[in-house]
Amino acid sequence: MDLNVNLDKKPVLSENVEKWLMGFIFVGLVILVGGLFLTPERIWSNILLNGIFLTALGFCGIMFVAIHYVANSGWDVVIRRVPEAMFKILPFGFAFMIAIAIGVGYLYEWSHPEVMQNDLLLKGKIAWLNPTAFSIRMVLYFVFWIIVGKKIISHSLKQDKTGDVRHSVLNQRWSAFFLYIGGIFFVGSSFDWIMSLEPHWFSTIFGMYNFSGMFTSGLAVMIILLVYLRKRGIFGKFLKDDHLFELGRYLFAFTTFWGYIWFCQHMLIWYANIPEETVYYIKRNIGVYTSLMVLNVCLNWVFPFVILLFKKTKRDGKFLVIASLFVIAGRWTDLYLMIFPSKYKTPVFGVIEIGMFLGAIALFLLIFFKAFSKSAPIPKKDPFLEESKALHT
Amino acid sequence: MLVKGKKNMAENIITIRENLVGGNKTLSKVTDDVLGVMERKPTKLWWFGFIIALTALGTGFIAVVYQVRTGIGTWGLNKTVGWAFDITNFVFWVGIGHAGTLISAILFLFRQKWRTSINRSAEAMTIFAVMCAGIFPLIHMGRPWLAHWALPYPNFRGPLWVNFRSPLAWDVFAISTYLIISAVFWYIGMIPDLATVRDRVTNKFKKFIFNFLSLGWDGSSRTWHRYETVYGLLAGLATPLVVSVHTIVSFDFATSSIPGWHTTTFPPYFVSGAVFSGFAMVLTLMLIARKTLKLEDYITRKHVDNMTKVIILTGGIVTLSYATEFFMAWYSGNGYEQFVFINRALGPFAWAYWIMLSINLIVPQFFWFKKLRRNLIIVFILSLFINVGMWFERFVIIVTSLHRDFLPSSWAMYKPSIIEIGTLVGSFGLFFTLFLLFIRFMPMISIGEIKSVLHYKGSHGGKK
Repeated sequence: MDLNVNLDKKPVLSENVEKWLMGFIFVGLVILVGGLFLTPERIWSNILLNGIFLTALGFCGIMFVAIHYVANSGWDVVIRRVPEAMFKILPFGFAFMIAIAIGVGYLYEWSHPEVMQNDLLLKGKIAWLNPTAFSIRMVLYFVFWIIVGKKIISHSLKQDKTGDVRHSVLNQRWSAFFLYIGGIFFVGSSFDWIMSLEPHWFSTIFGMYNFSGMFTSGLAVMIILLVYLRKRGIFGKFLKDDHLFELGRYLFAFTTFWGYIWFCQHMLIWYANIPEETVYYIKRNIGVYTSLMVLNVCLNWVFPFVILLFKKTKRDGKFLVIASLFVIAGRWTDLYLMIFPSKYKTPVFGVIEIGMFLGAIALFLLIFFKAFSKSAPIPKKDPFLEESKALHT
Repeated sequence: MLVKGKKNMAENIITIRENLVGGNKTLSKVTDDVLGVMERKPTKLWWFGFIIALTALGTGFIAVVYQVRTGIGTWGLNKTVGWAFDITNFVFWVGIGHAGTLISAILFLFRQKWRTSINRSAEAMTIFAVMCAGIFPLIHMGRPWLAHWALPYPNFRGPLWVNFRSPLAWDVFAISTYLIISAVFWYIGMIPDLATVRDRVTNKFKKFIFNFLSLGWDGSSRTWHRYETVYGLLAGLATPLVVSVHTIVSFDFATSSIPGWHTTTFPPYFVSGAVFSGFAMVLTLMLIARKTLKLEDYITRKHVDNMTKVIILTGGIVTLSYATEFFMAWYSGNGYEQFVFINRALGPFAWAYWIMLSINLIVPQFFWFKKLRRNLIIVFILSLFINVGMWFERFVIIVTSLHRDFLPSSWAMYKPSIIEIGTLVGSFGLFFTLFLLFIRFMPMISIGEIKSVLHYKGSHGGKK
């Protein structure tokens, strides 16, 4: 097959779009800074939400790459540069979360020693829930993810030059290492950053719940980016409907997985009806929150499930993008429901939430396109490239 | 395997992809090899295994007849430990039954071509394991002849009706559905091969049987097309079932409010534990079958390698779940929860706990090393260990959570009676009897599918 696409550096963002993105980031920043004086708690909640959202996108990117290395899979080679570039947002997620570690007092009840001392239950958790340990763990998680992730990507990029199959073999090892340890860290981070917002409450499935949300949102973003890049002709004939089909199947499977985990947590807590646990859902079943709970399940599972049930829709960029948009909105709703009810009895929603989320997305897109345009759009010397090009479903 | 320097891409693929079938087979050689097992007279080794299995089955039969006649008072249960050996065995066997449909359905959807050598016998294993699992709740009913009362159908028993709120009733549906779909899936997948057998046998009686079983298969492309559509659909249907079965088994425990049982992570934890133990059992069986039936070219080291990798993954999830449970027991600040976990590790059943933990945590770690993954004797021994470790996991979960009641005056110990042990032996007997009969009378490797991957190595856009 002729390489009928320019495999060398290619700027993919026009200056105009870049300006718009910068604008969104600026607006987000203005809201952030202004809000810190007016409603600090709300701003901190939003920083946490967007920090976790961005971290999850970066984590999903590198996890997607790692999974396919470990599985010795070939079909994904053509699209691999997209998740690789998504990974580049992870350091920015780190920055957001460092901010959280600094502003820990606004969000986490447990950061106040006097509260911990006067609460019998919380007193027992001091060893885990204190600002120092929280920050150390956070740094540990991110440093591991970023260093090992960079290692994997650097091998992939080096292979572009040398074509040495050794990089693939080494990456298989690094990827297994990353998935095993990084996965445990992800579960830990979910307990730390989200579950401890309500320090009395606990749920052992919580890490997996956040994991499923991370994966679905990452896939959704990946699909939208791919459909867009393909429209711009970046991949030439390399990227086919078949690749989108595989991603559609992924999204279908993992939105259903999200639904499964959501159901398990909700059903078991409801059924056993133990006050220490039901308190979490009681807070989320009052007033407008109830409708958000329903909306959450619809956006994350029902809509994508119905849309992606058919073979045709899983191969069609338009339908995939619609389903993905639902999933991204669903991820926001899901995170909102995990974070905000711990602070607000009734939902707050307005310019702050919209502005900051759009700002975060703009930041992600800017970083993504910068990273993506730095290297060849497909790993041109990967040993499985032929296999990926020949993908036929 | 490592190739240095610039190489042609297609050549590079070949260094990474391994062939799925060894020994340069032709299409007809495959048919001969697989059906040869059925056509030859059984070996002495087969008879040896079969007689042992039958003896075990007989032991179980006696035990079951005795306890049904006498009542389940013959078990070691008491009013505190009301579930123990039987439910442990039940969960153990359901778990074993997971790998089969996972291999045939989920790996099919993932287009994992290596499944072709092992899917048929793994599916058979699933069906037999689920049958073994079914025995235990059936006997536990005390009056197994009234087992049909567990099904909701119009009846004259007045207000007696299935309690849909009980996870035990969900179990009835989940497991019977799983058994039916797995059996249908297994059978449908076998039809093309049954037709091959039909065309080869000379014995009139056999011809009649296989003619009937192959449902008039003619091998035309239209038939194949329909067959593949049905197969894909069944795979799609079976996939959620694989997950649902052990999820619902875990609900038996997790919907309660008993410390050590009620925890939200139980469903995914049970499912991965089931896949973990199921793959260990597939490895045990496949390594025996490979050696005794001389199928080294079909069940290659590559297959074993892949299965051990699945074991690393699922074993990792299981270990993470142990850790999460332990951590959360402490984190929750709930004294009862903390007591259960300390009691597991240091109480009277600590020996069982440490057997479970040391096996399930350590054994999978050996598989990180390629040398060990490819050493079949080591893999075989480790797979036996995992079977034991996963049996103990269920024992620990069930018995240690029950034997220390909220009321200390109810505290009790549990010891299985000889009848219970006899029943467990019997279930192994049933399992191996059925499996040995299966490899004797049915094509144990999917001939049609294995032919499609004969030239796997070069079939990916690279040079052949």
